[in-house]
Amino acid sequence: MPRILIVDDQPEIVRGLEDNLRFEGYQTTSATNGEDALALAMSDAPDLVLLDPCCRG
Amino acid sequence: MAPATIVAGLGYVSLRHWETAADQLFREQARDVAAMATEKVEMMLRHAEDAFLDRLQVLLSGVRVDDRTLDELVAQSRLVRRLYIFDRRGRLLHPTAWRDDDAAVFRPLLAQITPGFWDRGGKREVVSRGEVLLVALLKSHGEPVLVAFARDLDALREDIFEATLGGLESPTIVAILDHQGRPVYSRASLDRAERVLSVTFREGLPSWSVAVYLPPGASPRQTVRRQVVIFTAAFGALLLVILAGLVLAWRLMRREAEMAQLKSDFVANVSHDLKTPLSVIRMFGETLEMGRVTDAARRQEYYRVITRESERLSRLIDNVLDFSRIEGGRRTYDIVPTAVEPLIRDTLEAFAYPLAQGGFKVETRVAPDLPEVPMDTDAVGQALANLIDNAIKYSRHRRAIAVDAVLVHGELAISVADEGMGIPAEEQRKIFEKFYRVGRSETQGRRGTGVGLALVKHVAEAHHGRVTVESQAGAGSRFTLWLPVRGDA
Repeated sequence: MPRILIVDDQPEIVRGLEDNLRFEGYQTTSATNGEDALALAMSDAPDLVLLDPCCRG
Repeated sequence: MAPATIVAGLGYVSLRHWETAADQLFREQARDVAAMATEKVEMMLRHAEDAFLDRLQVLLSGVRVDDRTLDELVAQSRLVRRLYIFDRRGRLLHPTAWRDDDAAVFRPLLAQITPGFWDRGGKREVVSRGEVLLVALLKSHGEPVLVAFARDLDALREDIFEATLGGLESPTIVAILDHQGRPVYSRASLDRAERVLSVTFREGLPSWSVAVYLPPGASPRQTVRRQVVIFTAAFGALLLVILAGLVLAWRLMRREAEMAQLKSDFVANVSHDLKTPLSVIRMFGETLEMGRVTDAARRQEYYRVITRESERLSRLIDNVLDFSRIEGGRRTYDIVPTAVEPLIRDTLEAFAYPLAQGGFKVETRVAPDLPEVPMDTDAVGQALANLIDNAIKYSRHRRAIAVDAVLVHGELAISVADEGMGIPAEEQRKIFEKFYRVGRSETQGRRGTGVGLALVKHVAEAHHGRVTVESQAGAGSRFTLWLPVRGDA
């Protein structure tokens, strides 16, 4: 099952994307800041990363 | 440095030239003045004395000449102090005897009269014992007689010198010096005056001279210096004014440019801030619409999120609208006594979800004995909401917010403290300026319009209060809103 990492500083957006993607049958992980996102990207090796370009750090 | 030295050097050289030229011109003018003065005095003197000699000749030609008529003539002529008449053999014809010490003065002059003069006739001045005497040859019944008279010094001063030199227009002082160089007459006090030059009389007053003096401090060199100093000062002042104007214009221009940049940032920030809640509302609405949320509790949560995001959107729009109202001077305040505690509770309640979501520890300490404070509830609530919103926005890992309300010296102090990224000291004053946002790189990615704190400041000032900040970069910030408790403050 493809794994998707969602990164956005707005928790509501993360939540909505997660719910929809899970409904479609994907496995998701999420982060609201850059450090967490980087750590998750390393440990989980997701197939796809949805990254909000606004977030730095 | 070098150009300044050259300019200074050239300036000095031209100053010297200027001084010398002024000096020369002045000396020429002084010489002219003196020459003119001698001529005028000589002419006037000759005129007066010729008139006297004419009258004397008329008397001497008369049938009977007696001493009384001659004495009367002398008495009438102010200029003539003493008159003596001699015959060719040197005998005194008039008056009958010497008066005072006149013999000592008049007798030696007879020795100076040459036989040639007796034959030729005419008149001349003779200096005898320091006194100038006028000697003339007249005729009395066909016989030549020698008349000699001494001038009256006071009459000379008043009738001749004052009359000729008194009206002279000149910055200098014109004086008459006698044969010993003593001033006999001067137009003004010669005290500390500097003598420029003197011209001796050619006739009328042999060995006397006209001297031109400068009053103290009026030398052409000093005048030039003064002018140069005034000119330099005026030029310097002008330069200063121009420089100040340039600096002012430059600063204004830079400020305008900064303001333009801030405004364009503001538009971008507002657009971004409007978009985020809108996308959340839309995403959650669509998800619900498509029936993807089957769990009732979760559906309830979705509704809550939509409501909350709408509130956030309203708050943002309120901020922007209020700000534009303030800018246009159209914001009005309805200030009435208000209880503090419910206001703080209500405002915090609106942030309950984001606070819980972010895992914030919130501590509220409201002093129990607070009186009702006059304020516009909506405006102060909005200001407080902005401060809490900022505290949430700029917190990092230490997620703790403290809201305090206490009474300090007759002022209500509502403070909101966080343990977030803090504000560098040099930025603490600017943050209350409209559109200003701190430290671009750190705050980037965080939503914000740059009008929040400007609004807080305006609300505080509208209540005759103020807003202060204590902060340390990296250690957190404490914003305090001070409102006077008495309405008339």
